[in-house]
Amino acid sequence: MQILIYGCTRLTDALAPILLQDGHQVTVMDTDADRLVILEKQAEVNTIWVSEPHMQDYMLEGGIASSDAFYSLTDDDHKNLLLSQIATHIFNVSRVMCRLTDPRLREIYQPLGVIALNNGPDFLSSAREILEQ
Amino acid sequence: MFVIIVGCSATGYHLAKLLLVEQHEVIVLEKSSARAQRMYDEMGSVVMQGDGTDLEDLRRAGITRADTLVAVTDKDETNLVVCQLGKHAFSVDRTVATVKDPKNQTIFRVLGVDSVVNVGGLVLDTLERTIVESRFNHLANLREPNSFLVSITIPDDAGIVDKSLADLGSFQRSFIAVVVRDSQPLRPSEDLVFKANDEVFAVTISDEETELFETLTGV
Repeated sequence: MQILIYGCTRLTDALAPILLQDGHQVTVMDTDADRLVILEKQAEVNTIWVSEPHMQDYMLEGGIASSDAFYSLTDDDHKNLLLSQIATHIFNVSRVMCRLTDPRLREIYQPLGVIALNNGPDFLSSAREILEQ
Repeated sequence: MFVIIVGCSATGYHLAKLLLVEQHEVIVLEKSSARAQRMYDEMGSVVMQGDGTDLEDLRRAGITRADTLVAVTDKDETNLVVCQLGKHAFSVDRTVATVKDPKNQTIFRVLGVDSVVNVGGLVLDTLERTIVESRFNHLANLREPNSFLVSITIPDDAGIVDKSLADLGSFQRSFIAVVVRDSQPLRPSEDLVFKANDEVFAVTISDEETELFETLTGV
């Protein structure tokens, strides 16, 4: 599968190698160029350095239009909500995951179809689960 | 009307003042306590320290009886979350948000924000008009979309000099509002004759702006 990840965080560092092992193609985008360089040394991912705003243009550059899955994993809940809803409603990506640290936001957005990931120990397994659907 | 404004940046601050002048009930929620305190000192109890994306803070601000929720923080993503919480957690009648990235306008609409003000786009349009399209002075945007009050000084060699207002030709939506000559405002009657250095104030629309400019300044 072709997978696009927005946000180069510790979660990304952990998730990207596993997705590669599973045989997926992974692209990671972030505003922090240094973090992308570090990740590139650890895993065979494509990276795109983005300079916000114009997030939708960068998502297109990252191949969102042909991606099978999109993960929004930045440290900012609000940004993750905007990005993941863009992926679902503008680019019609079928599998979208959104990192949400605030449990109250998770409660409100679940009925709206946002699939939330938490930072807990089951992060990797739940992040992989959606790819099997 | 009871309006809750989230974000007390320049936009939130001036909007609150305007609405208060028009006798509306207003609460401004500002996350930064330093900023909230400053605004409180100036505007009084209409300003509350609080996070517009926190359900409890929204409740404290009185969201359950608000008619309109306006999100004008400097982050598009936060404005979206504020409006979505207002709609889905509190069923607010009307949600309004500003966006900086013009491309975010569509997703905000799709996700149910009632009114989206594309601040980034408005600034771009105004800049472009100022720089490229017209050499008119743009004085004001009028309420009707795409209509503006403009001014221009008639050059010495313009063809319109010594001709009357009736010779101006017919414009559908543009008209001369006032002509100022030697600091004296003149009423734009049909027999008014243009002189060089007259300062002409006109109302025009984007489609007719270039033609009006040519007519007033063309040799």
